[in-house]
Amino acid sequence: MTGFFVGKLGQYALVLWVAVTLNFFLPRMMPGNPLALLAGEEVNLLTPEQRQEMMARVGLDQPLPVQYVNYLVNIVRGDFGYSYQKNKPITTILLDRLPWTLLLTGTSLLISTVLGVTLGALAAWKRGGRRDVSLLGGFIFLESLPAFWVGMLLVALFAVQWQIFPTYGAMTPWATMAPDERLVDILRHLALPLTTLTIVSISGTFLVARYSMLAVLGDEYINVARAKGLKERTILFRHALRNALLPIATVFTLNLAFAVGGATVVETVFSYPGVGRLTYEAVLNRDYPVLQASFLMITIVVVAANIVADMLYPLLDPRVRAGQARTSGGG
Amino acid sequence: MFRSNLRVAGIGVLGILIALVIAACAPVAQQPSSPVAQQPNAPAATVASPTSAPSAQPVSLRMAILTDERILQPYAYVTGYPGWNMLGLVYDSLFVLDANNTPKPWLATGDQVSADGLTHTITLRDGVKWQDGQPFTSADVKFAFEYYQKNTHSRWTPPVKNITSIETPDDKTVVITLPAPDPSFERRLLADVPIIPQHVWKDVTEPKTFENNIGTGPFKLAEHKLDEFYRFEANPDYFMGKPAVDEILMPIIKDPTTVFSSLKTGEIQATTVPLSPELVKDFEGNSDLKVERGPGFATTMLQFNDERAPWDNAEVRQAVALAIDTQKLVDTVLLGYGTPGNPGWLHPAHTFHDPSIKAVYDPAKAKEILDGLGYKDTDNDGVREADGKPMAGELLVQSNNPQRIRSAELIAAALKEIGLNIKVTSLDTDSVDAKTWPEFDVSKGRDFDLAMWGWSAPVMVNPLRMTELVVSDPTKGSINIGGYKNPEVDTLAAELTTTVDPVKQKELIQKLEAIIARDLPFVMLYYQDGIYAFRPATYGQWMYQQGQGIMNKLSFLPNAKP
Repeated sequence: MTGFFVGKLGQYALVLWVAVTLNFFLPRMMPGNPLALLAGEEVNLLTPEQRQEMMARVGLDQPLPVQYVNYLVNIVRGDFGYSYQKNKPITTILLDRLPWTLLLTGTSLLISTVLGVTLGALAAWKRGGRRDVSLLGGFIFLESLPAFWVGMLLVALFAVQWQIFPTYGAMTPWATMAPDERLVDILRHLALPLTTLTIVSISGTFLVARYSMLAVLGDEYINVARAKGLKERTILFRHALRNALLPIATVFTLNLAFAVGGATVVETVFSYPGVGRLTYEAVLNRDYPVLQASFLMITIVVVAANIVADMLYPLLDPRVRAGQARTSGGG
Repeated sequence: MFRSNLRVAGIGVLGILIALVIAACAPVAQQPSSPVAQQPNAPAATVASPTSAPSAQPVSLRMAILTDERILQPYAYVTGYPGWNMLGLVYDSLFVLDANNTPKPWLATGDQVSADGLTHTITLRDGVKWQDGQPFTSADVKFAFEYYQKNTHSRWTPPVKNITSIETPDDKTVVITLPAPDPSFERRLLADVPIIPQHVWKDVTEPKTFENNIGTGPFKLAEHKLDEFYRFEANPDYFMGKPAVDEILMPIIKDPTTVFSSLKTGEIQATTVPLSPELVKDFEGNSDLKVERGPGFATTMLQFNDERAPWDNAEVRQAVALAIDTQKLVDTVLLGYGTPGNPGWLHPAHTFHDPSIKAVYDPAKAKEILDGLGYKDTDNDGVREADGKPMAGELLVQSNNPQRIRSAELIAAALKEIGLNIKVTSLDTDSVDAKTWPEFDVSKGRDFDLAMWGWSAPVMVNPLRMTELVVSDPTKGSINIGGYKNPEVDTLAAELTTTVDPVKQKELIQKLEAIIARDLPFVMLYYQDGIYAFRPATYGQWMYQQGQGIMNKLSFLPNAKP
């Protein structure tokens, strides 16, 4: 058992190193450079010496291998540097954004998982039945909607037409409010982006849940349960769902990891101050330090989520537990 | 056992979410304490200001912008528009450009030029104070100019670096000596260089990260939250009178569509973002909104690589220009809200433009020219061959600009008609820049055929800057991205940069216009109108600055006549 995890940890360390290296080289392989960002307007009027000085200031004049080693050393030290664009330490910027992203994507993930799994299970009960067909059709329709379009539609209806929710931001930034008013303010700002994100992301969970339930519902023990005259709900949620959970859990942990990366399109439409938009802007501006740091954060969380998933499987599924016991016993 | 685990996990996740919400609220509760606390150099004197007109309600205006502009001091702002204009709320320059872009005295009261054009004696206004209460003197002006000379990477370093000397015979006089007469001295220098306070900046060695916003301007920057908003407060002691707006809140909304939605709901009452043509009808029909429209000096053009065959041949470029119906582009892409391009660069509304220079649309003539060059379609595939090679090329366009993409598609279709095979390639802006203008240095060469391009309004506001577009020496023709070379143009430009007499200036500029219109280093496609919407019930006394729009400090000073 210990050997199994040590081996896994080695694998994860390798994956992390490869990802960290890619995070360094990929942005630098894109055409263009951050000079425009560093120099600001009228960059064309700078003399070659000024350009040189400008690049030297952020260490971009050094050969790539030197930059790479510095980058690795700084990561180990926990120093992610300054954003070229925003003139602020990356950690401050990321920590400012992360709570908003987690609030938005985390809540959406929770809702779409609970709803998606429940509805997926219900749909699978009678494959090809009316409930199944209409749910399946409905979710495939939702799946096909582009996020920006759903967002703009919701803004047009709920913000512009009926003026129920605000159009942009995560809160009213300059107003003075009591904590309870502030909470309402934040929830009102959250409503439309959350709805948009949930609408466009729920179908994935639904489809996986439905498919994995279908596989389980064909098994003998379900027939036995039915023969015993158990209620549909009991069979579905107590007997079938528990066995169908493995793929659902996998999708959930992966989604959890990507949640940290934010939801760029939704964050843009609603001007929500999340990590996704930050990363996107950093790509456009060739803001290497921000790219490196946010990709690193996503990498770590993806790897961590995989570790969690690996550790969760034996808890969820006795078969995996048994398999492991055999492997470690035999090896 | 498993179910209880799930429940525990669920409660845990919920707990985290609630904690996040509370954490997000926490810093906000402290926010309203005092904006002045952010400015360590502001003494108590500025806080207690007796001025506030008791008659009217304070006007608080919400005006959205699209991106964060950093610290917003002369070394740390991002965009030429609206960043530079926002800078103008806090900082002043010696002159200011009025509604017609004519430089008028502002912090100065006048500029006496010596007969040889080398010495400018500038007198300063009395009683001007910095926002921290310190008096503004000629020493600040000298300091600011010398600071920009020493500390490079500012927009103002190139225009000030050639100044021979700056002297201050007394507190209210500045004498600037130039090595040669400079016809755009008032426009490019005096009306552009923001004066920074000596007592604040004198020991600053890292200007890019220096956090301070003390200027002489009509507004104080009271608060800035990165990527969220800026808050400006009116400067009650402003030397041109108190601004007509008491507070400007500038939320940063990243998506233009959302900006316009918020304008409709009234969450914001103005924006620096020009209104999209397709929304004009809708907004004009809304009684809560007003739309201000005028000529825009920002350009959209088809840029040739003037060094690469067959585009290095002026006759081929003429054929291309003849095949493009610019009026149709304005009608389809801009829905009519624009002006078709003048092949000689200047906007037809520009005071220096020669009205006899006009674009011609004549695809038959284009075909004739190409036939005359012997560039015929010999293998009948619909594409002409030039010296054995098919006349094909790639037209680069910026993927974030739908209007340019539509124009590029229409242009490719029009060029197909005359037998040119143009493929439109859409790339992100940085990638287009890397091919057309590597490292933003025209001496580094270029690797493209055709590109959709454009320059911001300031390049046109100063008509003398058109030399930068066409001069072959990379240090002077710093935005000649096509690599166009013409000795006749170089001579004319050299003469122009030392000509001070406005009549002679205009004559030379029109000569240059005629050559550009004939040689076509680029095809001018159109100038999109500046269209700005706002809610007049909150504030409506905007000044439309020709070619540049409503975002300027004079918009908030309706009674100040420069």
